[in-house]
Amino acid sequence: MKVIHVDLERCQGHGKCYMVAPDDFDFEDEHGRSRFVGAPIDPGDEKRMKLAARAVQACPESALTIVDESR
Amino acid sequence: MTSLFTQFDHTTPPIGADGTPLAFYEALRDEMLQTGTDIGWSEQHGGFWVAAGYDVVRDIFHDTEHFSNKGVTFPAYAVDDDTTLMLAAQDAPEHKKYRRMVQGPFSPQKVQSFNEPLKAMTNQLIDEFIEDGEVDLVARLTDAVPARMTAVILGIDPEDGDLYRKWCWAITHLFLTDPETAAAHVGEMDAYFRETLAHRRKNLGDDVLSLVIQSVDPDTGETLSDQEIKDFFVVLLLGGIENTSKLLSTMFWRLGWDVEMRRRMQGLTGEKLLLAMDEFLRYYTPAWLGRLITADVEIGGVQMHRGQFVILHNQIANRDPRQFTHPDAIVLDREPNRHFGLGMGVHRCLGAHLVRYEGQIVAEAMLKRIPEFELARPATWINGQVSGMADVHLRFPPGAGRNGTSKPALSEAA
Repeated sequence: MKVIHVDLERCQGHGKCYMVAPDDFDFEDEHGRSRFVGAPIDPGDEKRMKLAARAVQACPESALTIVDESR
Repeated sequence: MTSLFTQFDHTTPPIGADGTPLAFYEALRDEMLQTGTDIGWSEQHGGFWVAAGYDVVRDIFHDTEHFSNKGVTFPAYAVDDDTTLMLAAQDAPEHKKYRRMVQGPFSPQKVQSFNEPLKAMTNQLIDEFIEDGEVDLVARLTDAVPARMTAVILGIDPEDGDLYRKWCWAITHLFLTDPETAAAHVGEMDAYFRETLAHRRKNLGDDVLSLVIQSVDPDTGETLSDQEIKDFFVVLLLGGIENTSKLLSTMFWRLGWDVEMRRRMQGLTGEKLLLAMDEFLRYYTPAWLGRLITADVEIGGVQMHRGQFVILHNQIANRDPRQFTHPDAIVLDREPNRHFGLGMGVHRCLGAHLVRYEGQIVAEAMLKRIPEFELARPATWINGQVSGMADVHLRFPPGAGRNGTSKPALSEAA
């Protein structure tokens, strides 16, 4: 299973990932940074994988990566 | 070939036949690409760097070690000596400390909770002119919505929107041409603020001003001084009103003559409209940003020296074909769209979600209630750190207010 890792050093809270996939991201109040809150993604789930790829692409700070859940 | 960079003055770019400086920005962009000048040197204002390439602008946004926000306005705004532009003109660690205090209310989720008040105020403002068949949309809608929304967020009276706009104008523009009147306006703002603060301390609410009053420094346990709170007040007013206003007015000017684009916009809702807002932010980027160089640094093939200024020319970087395909076209569903219209890095616009959301709600309401409109006369572009259309006179078939009573007599008389 895959999850989306948010590099908190890079994330500045643009919210583009949230715009693309509102169910997968949430923002903490203190710094306004994004965190992945979605269920782990089955790599065979084409729809969710595509959405994840769009979120990664959309990030202006290149803060997102799709990683294995175990990581 | 003489370089356009040499005489470049970011405060007065030449206006082209279309009524905007876009052709000039495109010419600068083309020179940049042909000569490999990602960063040029202008001899205006005592000399300064002009960062125009997408990659170098991004690198400078992220390099807070060499580039200080002390130079965010260049030449500087006329704020008095005790006042620094809270957040905007600060560096770490102050910036981080203050930003953390106000970050919460501007998150995407919080912003969506403004849906109802935003829709209501937009429709009320449209009601006030929909029966007239003509309007200066800037005065009646695109200035008014952000001014009222900012008031709601600060917990001050939305009906005083004209006052807030006057103060902002005094700080950002009037001080250049009429410093005495500007100082009088700023004095009026100070008095209003002192009265508001005294009252709010006794009547705390869930507005951002109350939040700031109650903020405690996690390290020292201290609350903010009156001056610090005032600095927040000023920067939230400035940041909340002008950028959004210019984005919306320039967008509606475009939709006033570009009928095909208006039709396409009318078919958009929700996330698709938010994407369109990002594209308008890229294409008609309202603001450029300055930085003060605090240590010698080599970047983009030039050697910069401590004490010099650099303008991050978002408008040009946002039309860099190395980052954006078909940069000179408005592509309403452009994605990804990693533009600099709201800045980048730690200083990215605090109200980034709010700007787009206001745009979405206002566009949706306006295009639904007044689907057909045209420009009644050429609009007026205004230059400055935040630029865009200062008036947009529209003509349209009169509609009915939401209370259902249309007043045909009024439009016949007009």
